[in-house]
Amino acid sequence: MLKKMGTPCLIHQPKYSMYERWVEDGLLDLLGKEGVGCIPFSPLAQGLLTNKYLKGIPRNSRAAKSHGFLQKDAITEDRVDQLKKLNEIASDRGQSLAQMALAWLLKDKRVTSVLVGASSAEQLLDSLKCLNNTSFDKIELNGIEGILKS
Amino acid sequence: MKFSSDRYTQMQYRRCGDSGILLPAISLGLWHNFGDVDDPKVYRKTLHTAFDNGITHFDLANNYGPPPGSAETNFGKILHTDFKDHRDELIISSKAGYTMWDGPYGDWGSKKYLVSSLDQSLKRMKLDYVDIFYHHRPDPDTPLEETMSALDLIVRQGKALYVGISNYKAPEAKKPFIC
Repeated sequence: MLKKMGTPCLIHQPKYSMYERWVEDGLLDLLGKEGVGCIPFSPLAQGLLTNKYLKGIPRNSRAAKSHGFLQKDAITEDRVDQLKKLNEIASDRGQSLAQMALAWLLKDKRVTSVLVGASSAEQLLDSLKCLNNTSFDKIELNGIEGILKS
Repeated sequence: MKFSSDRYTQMQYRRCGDSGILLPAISLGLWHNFGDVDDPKVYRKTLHTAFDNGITHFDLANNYGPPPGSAETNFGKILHTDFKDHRDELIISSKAGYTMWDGPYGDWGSKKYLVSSLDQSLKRMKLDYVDIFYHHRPDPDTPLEETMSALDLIVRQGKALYVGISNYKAPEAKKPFIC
């Protein structure tokens, strides 16, 4: 529709992370085929894919605030177990869990850019380090899939 | 304001689909941390650090804050002081699609809402145009033709250079892309 008007769609901004993968169900293929860029938001699943929750729920985190959109029930014991296992793979790659979660999105060339938020310059610099390693071997990818399905 | 001279060697840039535009592999989203409830000293430093490290894309929306609109106002202030010599090195985006003002014309996907919301965003950021303007979410009740022709109109008026869509699932996204 936009092409016919002469204003082709440049880009699509979907919610996409290890924990929210609906884009893999047809959208990424469509974007690749139609030559439309992709810029995921919430790549860390509202802060879930960080080291914040590896030891449970800290008091000041978004999950602990009632008005935050990451609700307490999103952090179950099973979820914390999963995060710990993912963090082990990240450590082996020389990355934090957050850095690996960002790199994991960038492994797909159809993903043009990943949107990160930052509550400080330090946090942004930490996220940027994900670019030091954005390729994954089969063992790492299978390991991640296994953990996410567990 | 002096930025790092080797900022463009730090970042990977990727082509955005089949377009002429390259985007940094990491872009900065201003959904949180840039509202009136946040500390200007902190977010100002975040913006400097981003640009110093090759982040050329800042992503906003009409409703980012809180309160809604304040992220654009606050970003605009810093843009016109610290980044005033660098506008042409930046890709700035905004969006409309979620609830922004009272009444039937401040939400969803009508031409009325999209055109007036972008005018408000441009005023808040004191810009002549944004680089990318998005429809922020699909609207089940407005004909897609109306929403897409609003995006087309906005580009023809010179208020945005490119358009995008957000939160559209694959079946909903097909029509805007194809043809």
